[in-house]
Amino acid sequence: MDNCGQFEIEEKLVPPEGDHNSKRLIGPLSNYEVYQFFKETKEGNVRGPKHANANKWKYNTHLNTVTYEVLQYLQQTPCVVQSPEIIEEFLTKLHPYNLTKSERLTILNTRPLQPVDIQAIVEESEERLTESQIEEILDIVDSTLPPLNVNVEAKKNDGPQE
Amino acid sequence: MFVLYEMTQDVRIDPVNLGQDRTEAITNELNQRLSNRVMLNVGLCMALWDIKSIGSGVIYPGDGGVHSKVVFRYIVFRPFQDEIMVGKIKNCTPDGVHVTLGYFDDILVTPECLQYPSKFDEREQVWIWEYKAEDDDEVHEMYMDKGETIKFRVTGETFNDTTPIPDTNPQGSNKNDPQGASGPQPGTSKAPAPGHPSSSSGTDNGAPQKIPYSITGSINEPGLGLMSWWS
Repeated sequence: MDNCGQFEIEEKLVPPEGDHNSKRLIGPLSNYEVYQFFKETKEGNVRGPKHANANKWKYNTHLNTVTYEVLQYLQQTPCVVQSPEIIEEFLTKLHPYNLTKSERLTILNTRPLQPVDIQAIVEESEERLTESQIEEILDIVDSTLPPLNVNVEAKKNDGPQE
Repeated sequence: MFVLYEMTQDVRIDPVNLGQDRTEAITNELNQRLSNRVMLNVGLCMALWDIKSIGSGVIYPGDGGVHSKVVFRYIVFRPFQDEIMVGKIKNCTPDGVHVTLGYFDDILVTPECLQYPSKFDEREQVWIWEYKAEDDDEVHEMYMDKGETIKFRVTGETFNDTTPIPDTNPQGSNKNDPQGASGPQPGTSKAPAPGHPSSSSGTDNGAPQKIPYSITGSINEPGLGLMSWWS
């Protein structure tokens, strides 16, 4: 998650692995990770404080647009009040329910509160989960993931320490 | 919703940027090239996540830039099939309900994917779900107003190749036109390979109504639709 900027430069005459213009799907990112990334981008210190130079980012209008719009969107989602510890605890507690990775990710990103939300997210939920299990999942969501409503204060507490 | 893609591309560092830190120059170059653009069959590219490796720099005759093969990872917006997402209603048309995420607008919920039965009000230009509770005969009109928060399921995606002319280098023209003053126009010799599948978002060059990447959604099941319906 935090390994930006830690890589090795290959000074060899052979090209790095991978064909020219190859693309490979690595895997999904949670909203929280993307939010953190763009928050750092916005502050201009994504490569560490020694390279912090706001001007570098200023002239890339596309990146600025993306940063602004994604933050606008994500600031209204529950990811702003999450933290790696919360997410880990949440995923551990969710482990016994045999949900797929994408289902857990969606639950994490959307923080469902109603049984119907779970039924929409989980495929064939009638067969895979009993009603009491759905209630348990909702309890886990409610107890581990902080609600969005308090995020205004939380964000303010979060802000100055950066 | 967001995924990480590993890609390999040839990156040209302009001579004026050779004084910069190399990784920084490459980061800037890749973000200039890809950020906020749709890559065919990949998704909407957002920002550079990290660089895995940088190949040795190569100089070609007649070009002062340094070309290196870079393996990097990029944040890409590419929702998976059946993902549940939350957006806002951009507007309603007879074609359906258009949803926006702020950074991505081309989401359409077609009329047959709305809650049943729904009707379109021509005068107010709004879709209405005529909800009828089981225990009473009254029909509740649920308006889908512009700006409301809506939860939907991703049911499909379409990529369109919006490359203007397949033979020329689309990267070169797209890359240089939005930021006019940022540097001299390089005589792009061999830079990104011709026929590179990435294409611009179509808004820069006023291209005809061809949407590079669009998503279709549905809300015709319990729990989906306006957030206020289910709380």
